[in-house]
Amino acid sequence: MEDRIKKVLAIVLEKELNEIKNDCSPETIEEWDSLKQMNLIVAVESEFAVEINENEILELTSIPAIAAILKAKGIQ
Amino acid sequence: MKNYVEILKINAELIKSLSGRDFKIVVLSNIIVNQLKEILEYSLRVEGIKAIVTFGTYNNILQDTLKYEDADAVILFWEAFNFEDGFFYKAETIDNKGIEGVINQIKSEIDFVFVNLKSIPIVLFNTFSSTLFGTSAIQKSTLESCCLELNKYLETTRPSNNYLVNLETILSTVSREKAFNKKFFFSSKMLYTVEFFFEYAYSVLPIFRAITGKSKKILVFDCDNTLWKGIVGEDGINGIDMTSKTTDGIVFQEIQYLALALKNKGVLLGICSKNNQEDVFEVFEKRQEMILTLEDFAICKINWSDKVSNLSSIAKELNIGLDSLIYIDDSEFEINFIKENLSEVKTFLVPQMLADYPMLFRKISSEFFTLKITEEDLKRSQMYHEQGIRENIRSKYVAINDYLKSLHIKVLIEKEMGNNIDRISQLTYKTNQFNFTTYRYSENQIFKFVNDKQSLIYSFSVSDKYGEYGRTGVMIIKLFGNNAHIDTFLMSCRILGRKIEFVFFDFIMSELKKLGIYNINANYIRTLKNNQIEFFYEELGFTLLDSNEIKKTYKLELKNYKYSGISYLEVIDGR
Repeated sequence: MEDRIKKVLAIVLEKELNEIKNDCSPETIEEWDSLKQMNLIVAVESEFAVEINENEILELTSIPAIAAILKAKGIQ
Repeated sequence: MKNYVEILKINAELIKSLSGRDFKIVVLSNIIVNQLKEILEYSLRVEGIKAIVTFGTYNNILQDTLKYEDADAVILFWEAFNFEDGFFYKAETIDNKGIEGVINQIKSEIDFVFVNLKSIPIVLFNTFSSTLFGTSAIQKSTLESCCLELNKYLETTRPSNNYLVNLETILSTVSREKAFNKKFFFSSKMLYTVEFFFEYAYSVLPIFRAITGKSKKILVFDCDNTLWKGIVGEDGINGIDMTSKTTDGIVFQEIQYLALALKNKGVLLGICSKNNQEDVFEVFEKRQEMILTLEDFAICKINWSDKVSNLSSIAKELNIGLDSLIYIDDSEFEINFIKENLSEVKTFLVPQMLADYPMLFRKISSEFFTLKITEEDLKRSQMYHEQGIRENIRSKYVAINDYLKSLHIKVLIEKEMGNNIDRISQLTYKTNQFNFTTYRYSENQIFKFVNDKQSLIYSFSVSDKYGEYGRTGVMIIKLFGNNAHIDTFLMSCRILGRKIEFVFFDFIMSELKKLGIYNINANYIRTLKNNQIEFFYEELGFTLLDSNEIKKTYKLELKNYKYSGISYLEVIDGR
């Protein structure tokens, strides 16, 4: 699952896959701003067929955090 | 919904593989619409248009209309709900005079926009809509009435390079619920969902095809179960139906009428059918109830050859590209065959449920779009000459200074003594674009500045003939002997583009002179949001001391400061 998340991040942030490190976050990637966050939410919803609600939006700011939320929604 | 991630990926790949020059589309808006970018780019890039979509600064429509002279197209997302902060919920409690004031202000802003964008080849102007903010079919809300009046104004005064995009049509297709972005609306003023943007991009695509020479030109039909019910080779000439005699027949009557209307608008029609030519000709000759005649078709390929060869011949004989051809057939087999071997041709399958056919046909019709100056456009221009007034107003406002003067803008500048700490603190948190250093200060910190003898805070409030904008600008200055350092200089989005920054600066420079200041230092700290003001200090005559990727450092000897000489803004000294 982490690999799929990385792929999604790379596409949304317009970076190469190898530029997406395990510890990446809005603090480490300048392009990862609030506008890209919105694209990320839509991308995660589309890729994993889940619904992210308003409260979760600001939590999806790192690969572990995204993985945790997806696991909680039943994604493997 | 389409796979969003795939679309982002393909969009990024397409820009690398497309040749030709960039097609620059600028989107100006008073709301956040950033998710439109990749979706619109993708929709155009798959058609071979090398579209690059950029955005103006948030809520800066007016002044941005002066900035993008080399855009190939401008799209205006000018939302009524945000004419003023909270307008969508405050409108109902504003009295008639107040609403009239808003409407008149927007009308004069529309005039301004029309004039400034007159040399842009295509301007897509969205109609004003209140649909996402009201659901009554029997009671007009104030917001709705505003939109109706402004849309009427757009219809009657738009220049011929402006095309109105009817948001109601798009919203009807998407549905209110699916178009409204409740996830992001309250936090980010992102009103629309990605579903809405897909439908929007699809709706405006024909205009972009037309302007890049990629219009669809011909609609080619199969015959059996496409132009009439039944198979003429099996059911015989009288066994097929295209009349109101049967519920199936009447569908085909509708299709034929709609096709005839398309032909009258200049679209070519063609036939590509696997049949004996005499059988098909006999239908046109003997069945009086046929709406279409053979003369309505620019070309007919009725034979037993494969459809790929026939369609290729059609394109060749008419000297048009395969990508300007749309083909309709009831056979999935034929459609798939063409999709695989002639992928440039756009194909549509007649629906299994015939009741769905007319709706599909209308959708197909909307793909045919020609840009032309219509008689209506000419009539409208005539109207201006005869009226005289509007035309005068328009040409009068060509110079932004004249327009600004006409607004009777008043700028009330005050030295902060402690009465506006909360608002000033709030502005330091909220302001991102016209903000040179982006320091965020709590009320406590502002309070400390106010009480510190070595600090000065100035702020200003703005009003014009239409109303008040409130306290919208702040400068925080730190004093060191004869030197002053500009710690913070910011202005709210809503009053940008009026050159207030210049008169504010003039005022403060005068004040600092009186205090015996000789030198001013200032910084510009780069962020993703404030690059539009990167060269402001240079414009004021400051000397650039240093520049790196984090910030630029400046100084100015106060005696060398050049006053702006702006007289059309009234500056009121708040002391």
